[in-house]
Amino acid sequence: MSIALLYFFLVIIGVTITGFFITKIRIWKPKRTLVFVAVYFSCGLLAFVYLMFLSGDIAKAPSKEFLQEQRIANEQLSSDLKLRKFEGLKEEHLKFTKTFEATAENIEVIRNEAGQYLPIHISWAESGENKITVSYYETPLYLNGVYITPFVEEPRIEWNDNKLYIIEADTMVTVKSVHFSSQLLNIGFPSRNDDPLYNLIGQRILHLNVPKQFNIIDKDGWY
Amino acid sequence: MITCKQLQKHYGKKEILTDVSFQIDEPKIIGLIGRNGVGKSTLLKIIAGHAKASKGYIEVVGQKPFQNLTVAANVIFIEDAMTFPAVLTLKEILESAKKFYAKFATDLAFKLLKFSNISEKNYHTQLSKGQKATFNLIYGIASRSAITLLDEPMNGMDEAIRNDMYRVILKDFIAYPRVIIISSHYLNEMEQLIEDILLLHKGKVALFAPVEEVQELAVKLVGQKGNVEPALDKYEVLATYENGPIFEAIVRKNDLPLPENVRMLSLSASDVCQVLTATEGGSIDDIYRKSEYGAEYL
Amino acid sequence: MTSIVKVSTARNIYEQVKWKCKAYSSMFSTVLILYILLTLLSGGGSGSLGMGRSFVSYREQYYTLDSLFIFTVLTMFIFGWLLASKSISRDNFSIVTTSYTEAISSALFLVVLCIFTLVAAISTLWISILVDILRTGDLFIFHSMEYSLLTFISFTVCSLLAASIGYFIHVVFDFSKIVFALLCVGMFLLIRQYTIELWGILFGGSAFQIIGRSTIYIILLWLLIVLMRQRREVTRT
Repeated sequence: MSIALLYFFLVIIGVTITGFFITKIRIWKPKRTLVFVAVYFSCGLLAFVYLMFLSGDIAKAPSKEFLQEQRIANEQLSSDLKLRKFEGLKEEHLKFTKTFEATAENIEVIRNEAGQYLPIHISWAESGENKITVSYYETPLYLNGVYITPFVEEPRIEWNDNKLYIIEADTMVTVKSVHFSSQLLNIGFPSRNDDPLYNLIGQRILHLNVPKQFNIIDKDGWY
Repeated sequence: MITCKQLQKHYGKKEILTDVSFQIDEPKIIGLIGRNGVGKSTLLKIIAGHAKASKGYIEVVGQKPFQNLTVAANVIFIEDAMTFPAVLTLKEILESAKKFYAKFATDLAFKLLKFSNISEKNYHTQLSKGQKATFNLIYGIASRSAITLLDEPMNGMDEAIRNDMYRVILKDFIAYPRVIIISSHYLNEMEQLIEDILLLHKGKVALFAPVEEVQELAVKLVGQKGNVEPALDKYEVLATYENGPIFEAIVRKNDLPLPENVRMLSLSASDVCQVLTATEGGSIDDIYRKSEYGAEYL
Repeated sequence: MTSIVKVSTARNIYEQVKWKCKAYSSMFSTVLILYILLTLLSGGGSGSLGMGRSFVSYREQYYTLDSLFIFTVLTMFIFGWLLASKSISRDNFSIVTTSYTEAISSALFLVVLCIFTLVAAISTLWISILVDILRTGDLFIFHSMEYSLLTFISFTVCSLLAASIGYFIHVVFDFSKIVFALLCVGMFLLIRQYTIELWGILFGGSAFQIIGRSTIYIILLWLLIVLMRQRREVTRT
């Protein structure tokens, strides 16, 4: 009821104001209006051209088909890793490798608060050496259909006193986007909450190659 | 070009035109004369297709005029209330008129505007009453429509510009003959301009005749009351006035010899029209005499 | 003697539309001014969504035509009303016209105005995004445009429907004050009783139904307008 009344009042006020604009103010002569419109539309066109073609800060959202492919590949990788099939970890996804020398049997993994999310996968090596190889893999990351890899900082891996420190920073992604769809008219506005394609796709994996004689103690991992 | 037969127009119960019949077949300038409220503007609106006749038959350029595009394209109706878009300058108005009125004389309109000291950069809403009337008239004349209807076109104009505009109408009519109907209260000024008079009275056509015929219709007999009054039996008396010793009678003209000591004066078409459309119940003098001496005096 | 001029109805309507675009040019600038004001007041953006997944927090501020759409519908309703009002429509009789061609040319002028409004809304959207991105330095994401054509058509058709309703209501007002009063009461009750079901009954669920039904309503409204206007006598006062 109150909204209906508000709309009615809005209409009445709107009629008065617009009527004033149209009938009383004579500054908007046809030629002046034409110039104004031309300038305004040119600004719109320039903004479009700049955003779409000239700006380096544009990311084209990938297609659903592409996201679906990525999702399937990542699911496959997850199940492979669960089965300890590390062949799925491709060289192209390797970001860095570090080697540390263990001094004691029990190696503790220490994480900062933000580091709780980085999953560790261990392959046990038949080796008499005490070298531990830490490899960080990152498959392309997509969230809400947006390629967020450029925003994600690689974790810092440090070794001290037979402890493996994983230091991560929280990633904050802020973007602007345009949708030529309409929620009001029920035209193609993506309802993304339930769609797995708009969930996080992609993996960050810390792969440890550890000789069998060592133990890895990871108390804080959330994965 | 214009045919009206037993045309009637009423708004609700109020009758404006009761029985209007006339026919105009050739280009001429016609003065539409009548008292206030007699229906002159209504008749012009019906001819222009702006209003619909309640009854009767009307045909303009061979078609029924109401909401008829052919009629609209061939008839221009200029009146006081005519408005133009507020954002357009006079120049823009005149320039765009050519798109609608095929024969619109844009150059002439600009020249006349300049002659009238009205800047083409002005807006119609900014003009004074007289300037508005001048512009509207220029617009109407420059349109060179087959039928040009001018409703009180000189209202608000000063005498000088009125005279100029009468000449404009005449000159343009001579160059481009067409039907021009002018409804005006300045019949005296127009007598030299118009060919015919269409006199409306009580919702009917009281007279539709050439100006000369109207002028010949009645004469004024002037003299001492004792000399004039006895002679009136032989005439159709239209009106009498008494100014002290002088007695005046307006009578329908006939060929009988003039009585002795009575002078006969010719009348202008305007005077004749005034007499023909005079209100019943005497003149203003009668009203004052009534109030001064009482009804018994009469 | 001056000869009789023959006029083609289509040509006359075409010239009238051109003339109205000039004569009522302030409507175009008013749309732009109101859009600029609206953008300044709204602070940019139609909405935002945020989500957090393990290591990453995500916030997307998105721009759609939705916020401009509601405003445009209201504005077009007012423009429709004003265009039919005597203070504006009496100017139309300074040129060659009839009530029929005047109504048709007004309808076509509103179509032009609605298309203009759509282009203006899209321009406004791009300008606001650019200003916002230059200000914040955020990344701009371009999602697919697969629904854009449908959105643009719906935007235009719905704003045209609003303008037609505005025009129609004023024509009813001129036609009969009693019918106008009844219409106002009816509309008020309709708005008061507004439910999604009612919306569904009137316009359907899908975009195609909205476009289709709105187009039918527009045609019906203009048929009624022409019928009512045919009977109207011209008054310039």
